Amino acid sequence: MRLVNYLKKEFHIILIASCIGFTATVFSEVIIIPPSENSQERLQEALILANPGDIVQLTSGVYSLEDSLSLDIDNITINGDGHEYTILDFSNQKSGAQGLLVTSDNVTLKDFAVLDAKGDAIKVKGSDGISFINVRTEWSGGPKPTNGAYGLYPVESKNVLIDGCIAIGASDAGIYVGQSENIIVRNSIAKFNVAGIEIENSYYADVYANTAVDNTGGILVFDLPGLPQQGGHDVRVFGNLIKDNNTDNFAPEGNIVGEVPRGTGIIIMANSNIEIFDNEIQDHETIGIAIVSYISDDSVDFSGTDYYPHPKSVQIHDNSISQSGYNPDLDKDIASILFDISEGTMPDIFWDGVLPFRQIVFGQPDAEKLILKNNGSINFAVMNPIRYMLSLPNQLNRDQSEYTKDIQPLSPVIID
Amino acid sequence: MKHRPLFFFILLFISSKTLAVNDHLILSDDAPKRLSEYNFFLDPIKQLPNEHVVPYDLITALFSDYTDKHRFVYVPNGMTAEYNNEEVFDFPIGAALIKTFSYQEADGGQLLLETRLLLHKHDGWDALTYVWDINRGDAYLALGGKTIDVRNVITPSDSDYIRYRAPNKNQCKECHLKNDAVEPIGPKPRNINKLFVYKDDLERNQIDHWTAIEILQEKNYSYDRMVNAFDNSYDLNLRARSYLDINCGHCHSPEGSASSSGLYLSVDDQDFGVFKKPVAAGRGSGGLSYSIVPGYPEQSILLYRMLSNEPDVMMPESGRTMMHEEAIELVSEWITEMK
Repeated sequence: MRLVNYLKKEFHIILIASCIGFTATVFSEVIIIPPSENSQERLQEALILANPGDIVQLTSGVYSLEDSLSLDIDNITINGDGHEYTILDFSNQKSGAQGLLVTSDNVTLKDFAVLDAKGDAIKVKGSDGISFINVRTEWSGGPKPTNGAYGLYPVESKNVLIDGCIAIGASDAGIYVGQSENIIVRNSIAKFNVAGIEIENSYYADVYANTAVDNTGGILVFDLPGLPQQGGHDVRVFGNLIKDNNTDNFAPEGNIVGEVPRGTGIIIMANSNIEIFDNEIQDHETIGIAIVSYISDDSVDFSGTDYYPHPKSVQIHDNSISQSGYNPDLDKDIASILFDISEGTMPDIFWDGVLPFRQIVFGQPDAEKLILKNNGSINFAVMNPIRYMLSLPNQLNRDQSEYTKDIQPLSPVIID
Repeated sequence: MKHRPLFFFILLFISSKTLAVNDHLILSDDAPKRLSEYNFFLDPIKQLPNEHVVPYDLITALFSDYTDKHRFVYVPNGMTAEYNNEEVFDFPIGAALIKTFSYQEADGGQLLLETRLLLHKHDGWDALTYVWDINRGDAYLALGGKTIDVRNVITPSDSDYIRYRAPNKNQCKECHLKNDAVEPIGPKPRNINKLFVYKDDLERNQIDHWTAIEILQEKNYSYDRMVNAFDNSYDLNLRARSYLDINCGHCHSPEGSASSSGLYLSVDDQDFGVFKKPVAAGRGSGGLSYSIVPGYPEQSILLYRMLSNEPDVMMPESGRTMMHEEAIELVSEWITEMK
């Protein structure tokens, strides 16, 4: 009897303890918000009142929103019924510079669509741990300069995963990762944007198994001066289908992507440690891959700043590149210059050959040299900028033999 | 007769007890539904503050669709804020900043819109807004923000309808965020170093007054870089930089919400957009190449974005639906004369 009582008591304690454990770990709430007359207030209040660990569950249907939404609580999932069925519709948006803004850590956005936002569709700023899974951002009226700038737009963030997403119609970049670190963009589709996928001023990015079609430029890896984070490096672009990116550039002027020629597969600008491999790059009216320096039209001097305007340690191997340069976009400087100096025979891969003055005199360090390997029977060309500026002959060199050093594979990105 | 003093004392005790600012609510994690529960006002409709709730004013204010703003600071009795020359004062836990937005109505009345609170809790500042319901004589918590349709009010603009937006809790943070914490913007020496007419009809410098009533630690202050942006007697450059500081500088700083733009507009920033290219401005660039082109306001993105009311183009991103015409004139003149 005493033993039974003892066991009972023990059992109660265990029961109480396990309940406490249970409440502490499992008690994340699922907050279901169906579309309604006042979707705006209800959804926004849910995003403000949610507790870390909660799931904000959207149902099938169209949420008509007049103002931007925002989330600033850590460890939240916003979940829909699928990007075809759960639509956040901003076509009547009256205020806010984006559809949805996220500023907290460990957030998952999953299975919904953001349609016709006035500015950017989904902006995520300063987040550590942001996942976009099966999310669609779209401007439904086709490519237009009045469309918002970015579809999926994480900036100043860490541990960014974009998986299975679709970005259509952005007047700048469909998927744009800026000033971020530890990034994976995979299994996603970008079409009818100016830039399909753009990795800008970022460190450690893997961009793979994506489809970039019908944009102005397929995939851009850029680094720009004058920003808090610059010196982009360690970006791998592999196993992507990059095809038919021949849509006329419809970016509003003044933006850097406005200079991308129609018909561009990949541009690498002013980054270091870049590996481009196993991609299928087909049917581009201007160029398959361009490797260029950041050249400012007002010749700003970057010495004395920590900005390095030239690409270095770029490896391009095992890509299949076909049909490039058959109808170059001569409105854009880079295309018209290349068209001139190549006398109309546009290459598949182009390097502008611009180097710091020291390296023009003493040569480029071995570790920084371009590598081209196993890209099939492609046309390559590198410009001689000095001959070009002085209008001397032989401004273009098509010989690849200098660039066949061994590949030094970069490490895969690991998201913490 | 004999009992009167005691009776009087009890009355006084009860009345002062019921009327004092509710310090407990300022610190509470659960925001009350009604503004009146804090007891910040003796007469909220007239915006008559309670004891220890001190009205103040800024040299140049953030533009919010030509609303009038009634600002108050509350520091719990016996506490003081620490003086900072360059930044917002270090207010003690339990302090509150209170700002009511209103319009002058055409019939002479005052239309109260919302009262925003910044409450200094144990874990930092909390931003809340309460939207007024005049019929019920109180303002009510609006975490998700609220759209207020405003008609028949007097503003310098011609519009007879204003879609006024009380910000949601996160929008409060967009402007008030510094690094990862919410911070007040206004009460810095550079913004409040001016004369104010107090209820005794005497005009005193606000910093002097705050020190005299011992809500601010005494210090020699020396901040004179901010001027009234719309007082023509000051230097044009100072006026424009003052305007940009209070209207843009809180986000456009390395610690603010616009950090990623690389455009910084505090009064002391040396690079303030001259020949700066846009980064992720999208349509906000308006087809222009630089934030500021000296001598050419029409080529300057900064002015272009002040001239727009479209959500994805206009600056600031939230907090206005109208253009600030006097400021457009000021900034335009400033860029024209810039070399």
